[in-house]
Amino acid sequence: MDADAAGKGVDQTKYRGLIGSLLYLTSSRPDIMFAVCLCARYQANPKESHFKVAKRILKYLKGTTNVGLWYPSHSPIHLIGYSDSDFAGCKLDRKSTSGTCHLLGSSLISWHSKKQAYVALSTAEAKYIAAGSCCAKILWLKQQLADFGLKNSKVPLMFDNTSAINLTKNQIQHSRTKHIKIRHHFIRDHVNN
Amino acid sequence: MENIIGQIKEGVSTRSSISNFCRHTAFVSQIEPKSIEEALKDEKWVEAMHEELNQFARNEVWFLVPKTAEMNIIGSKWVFRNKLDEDGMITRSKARLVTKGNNQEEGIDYGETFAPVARLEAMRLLLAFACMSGFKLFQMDVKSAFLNGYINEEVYVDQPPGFENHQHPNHVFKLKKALYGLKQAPRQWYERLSNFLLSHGYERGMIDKTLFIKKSNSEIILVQIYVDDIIFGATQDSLCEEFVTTMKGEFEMSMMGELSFFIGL
Repeated sequence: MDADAAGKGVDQTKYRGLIGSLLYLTSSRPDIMFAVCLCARYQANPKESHFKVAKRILKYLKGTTNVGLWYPSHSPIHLIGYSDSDFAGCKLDRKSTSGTCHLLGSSLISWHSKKQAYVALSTAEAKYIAAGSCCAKILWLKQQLADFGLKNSKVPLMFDNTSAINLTKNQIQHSRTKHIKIRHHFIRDHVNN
Repeated sequence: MENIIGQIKEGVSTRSSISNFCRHTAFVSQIEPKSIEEALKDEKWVEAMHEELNQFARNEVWFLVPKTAEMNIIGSKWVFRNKLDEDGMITRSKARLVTKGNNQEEGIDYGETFAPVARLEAMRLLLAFACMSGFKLFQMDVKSAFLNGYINEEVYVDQPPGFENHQHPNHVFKLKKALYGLKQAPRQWYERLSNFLLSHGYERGMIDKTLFIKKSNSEIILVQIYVDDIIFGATQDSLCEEFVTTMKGEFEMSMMGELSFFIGL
């Protein structure tokens, strides 16, 4: 998807209404999260091509009305976080999109998909930023579980980039990593806790 | 009669839609009136409005005072809504008197307005946790929750349209409790509820300020608040019962039973 400047415009109110309804649905359907957020980026000037993509989501939903969140009983209670990101996925400004999800035992409790605020220069950096936001959410969930009377001492956080994993452990600033903003480094503090 | 014959303006209605209409019109009105004049024609809505005003009287929301020049008087209006259940069927018609909060002036009519609301993740976490530890969640809701919040500022509202007091046409209502539409209403309600729970031995969650916990021995009760919807569950049934009785002692509650349908999700 891109801005499609030459395309034919569609009714903005209608497009926004559709996106709004879909966004509401993402609170119980994580599978359409990324697609909806992608469509939502073109709300300011929607074109026919964007509308078509949004309607494609509706078609998908029609075919998959039988899926939903499933919370099984009596599975082991431990928290686990996953994070991933694409690299320069947005065609307009080349920012990456990070995605995270958190499972308690085998039930999915939290997810998000968000375009990063900075342009990442490498896949490792994009994934590092995603892991950072995932870590922040884990801390919140962990505290909430502690309120429930559950102690999760070490929460695993999974992501699939070796250099990003090493970045979290290694304090050394290399020429290729020293530009990474300080706010993303807070994950380092939490690696062993 | 008028309802069955229908209005000319409405256009063609099919047989199936009429049968649907006739089936429900006996209990609730299908249409949601846009204005007070429209609503006053329908008995069902007049009844709903009376119910709302009775609620005000029971909660001692306001009293009449003579109008003076220096008062900033806030307008009020009626909002009419049909309530739907899980299957999208209309269960009851509801009339709500709201104030036009946009006419309020900061510093005079209201001070602080922030009120915490639970995050959806917190709800899901509670749900997943309850499933795994195998206890049941219940939900209940507080009737006209915002009418319970005490108001610290001096706020005056107009008499409700259609229900003016003929003996005192120049009087306005001075509020003792918050009304829907006031900017401080959610905050005052949260404050009232949290103070009440804290005084009954419940603890606020460490970071989630809408979660309340009470522990006794190894048993625990979790209470999650979403404005006026309350979800709670405990590892022991007696804790739940205790919570329900304390809440019913203070507020007018409607118990909805086991959790099934929440904030329209």
